[in-house]
Amino acid sequence: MRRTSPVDLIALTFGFAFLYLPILILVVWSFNASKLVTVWGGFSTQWYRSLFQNAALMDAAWVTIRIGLVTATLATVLGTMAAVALVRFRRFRGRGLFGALVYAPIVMPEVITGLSLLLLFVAVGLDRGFWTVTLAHVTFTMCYVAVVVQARLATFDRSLEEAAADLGATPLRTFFSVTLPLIAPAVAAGWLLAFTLSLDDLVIASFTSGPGATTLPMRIYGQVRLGVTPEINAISTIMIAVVAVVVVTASVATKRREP
Amino acid sequence: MPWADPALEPLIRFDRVSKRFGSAVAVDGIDLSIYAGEFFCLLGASGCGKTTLMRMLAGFERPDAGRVVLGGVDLSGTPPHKRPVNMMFQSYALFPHMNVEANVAFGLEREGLPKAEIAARVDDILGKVQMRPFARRRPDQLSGGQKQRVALARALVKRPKVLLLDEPLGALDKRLREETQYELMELQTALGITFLMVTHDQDEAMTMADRIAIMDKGRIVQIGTPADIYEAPATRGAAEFIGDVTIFEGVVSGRSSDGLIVEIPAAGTSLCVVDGGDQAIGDSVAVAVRPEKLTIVEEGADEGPRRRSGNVLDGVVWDIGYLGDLTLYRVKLASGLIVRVSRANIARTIDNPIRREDRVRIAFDPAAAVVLKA
Ligand SMILES: Nc1ncnc2c1ncn2[C@@H]1O[C@H](COP(=O)(O)OP(=O)(O)O)[C@@H](O)[C@H]1O
Ligand SMILES: [Mg+2]
Repeated sequence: MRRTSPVDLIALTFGFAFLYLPILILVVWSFNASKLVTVWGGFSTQWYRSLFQNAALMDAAWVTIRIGLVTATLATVLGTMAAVALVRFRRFRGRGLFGALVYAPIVMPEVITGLSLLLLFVAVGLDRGFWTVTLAHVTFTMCYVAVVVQARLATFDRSLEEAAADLGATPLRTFFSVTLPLIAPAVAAGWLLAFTLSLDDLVIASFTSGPGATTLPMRIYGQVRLGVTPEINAISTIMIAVVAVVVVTASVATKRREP
Repeated sequence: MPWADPALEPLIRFDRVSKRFGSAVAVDGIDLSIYAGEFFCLLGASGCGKTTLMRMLAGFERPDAGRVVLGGVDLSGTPPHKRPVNMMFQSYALFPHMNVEANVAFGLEREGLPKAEIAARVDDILGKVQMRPFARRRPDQLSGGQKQRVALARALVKRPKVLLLDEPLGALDKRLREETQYELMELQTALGITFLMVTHDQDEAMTMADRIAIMDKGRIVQIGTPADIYEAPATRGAAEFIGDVTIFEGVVSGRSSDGLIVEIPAAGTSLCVVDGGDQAIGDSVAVAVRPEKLTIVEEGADEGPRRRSGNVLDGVVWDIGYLGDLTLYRVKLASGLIVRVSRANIARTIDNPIRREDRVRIAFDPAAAVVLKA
């Protein structure tokens, strides 16, 4: 291997600093004993403790987690189905269009996705709240699930499914006994991805949420406009930790068991 | 010979079956009858449509035209999982997330059999293919030969009416392939299941099959027993595909009491061959002669009693291939045409061996050659 030159080293340091320094600062301040956000008053975990007494934040966290769990599950089911349809039925009419339509929400500006969903919910007279946010999250996260699962299916040996059918398995049985176990890592990764996407969405949630369904990012954003508190730093640190664990799990899941 | 009995209903019937992929015709109007208990082989070069034909019987491809009939029942509209045939895939297609036992049991579980019966049948078939000690292994812990046995067991345990084998020995090395050929034949005899095998290997087809269908570009060139096809090929293509052969191109110039007289420019003489019955004087024909039907002697050696009607050609030994049981001579005629001659090595040593560049005389009987359309 080539020796690392000082230039490379500096570039690498700056690159990572650029990415992670803001996060690091946030994490450090969350352990600040002082109530003043910009003055270091020694190490303390008091803000984590007081966090759990903050009913508004705790409510928001609970709502967010529930939305995340329901979203991830629904998006995984729908996204996996879309991926199977796109990869398996190669010659169906409108496949190209369907493929493009599934990807569209990924490139669509979130403001537009949020606005259009808001208009839809208003038009059909759906009361905004937990379910409207969840439905909105499902629509935009299922595309990501579809992309992840489709990548795994593209390298899947079709003759395994034919062998199952040949041995007497119905298409449904084939899917659950052969296809699903073999693409499970990608499906799990898709679930985790959908969960984290739902967890940290602000824009779409702001458009589609209603009374009693304020998500954590919405609550944090609302409070920060009135001034950053150490509690916000603490809850943000917890979110960073959750997302980091989920992302690492997802990448481990997709790496393992791949041929 | 079930195929010789006109009253017998075939087990499998392909009825003017065609299949195209886009603009390419993979199977072109094939008619084929296969009888219960046969070991039938589809033989042909890669890409000639063998796998496609077999997949239409398994139900993975739908014919564009024609019908596939099994046991008197038209299979159109029957999905693969309801067809009483099983396939051993070219890639084996073992389920990587199940062990050997679970792979073999999978098909029986789909039939909803009681657990005890499934266990007994799995154990029995694993014994038959000598894979009992590996029942708990996963496919990635098996060698190629072992995977092949598991794939075979998984298909056979269903007791199908027909077992379909797509290049079953293609991934094995030569020695293992030969051993497995005989094992497959014994298994087929013991179980009495009809085997339909696809291969591009002519030796494999000749060794294993009761009957062979030679395919070329989506059509069947000839159907027959290995001996039929070897001794009486229907076309020049069939003659060249199976076994070694020398083809003399010529024109029919007359008839004698022994058969047709064919003028062969490349031999510088005419040959006398037994009349195929459908040639007229002036027709362009190809005379096909198998190497073992020719005799070879050194020029000037005592040739024994010269046959009155024997075809005799002079040439120079161009190449010698010693195969142990046989020696193959490639003899070059004055015109440059190469004639293949084989001689069985009956004695361990020969006093006067033929060497390269020796002048030799080769001969064959009129009945030893076949006349084909050019
Ligand atoms: N699924 C498919 N899509 C397009 N072309 C195919 C497909 N399957 C087979 N073919 C074509 O049909 C022809 C016959 O293929 P195949 O039956 O696999 O031949 P063989 O088994 O004799 O080698 C080939 O030209 C092949 O490229
Ligand atoms: Mg093939």
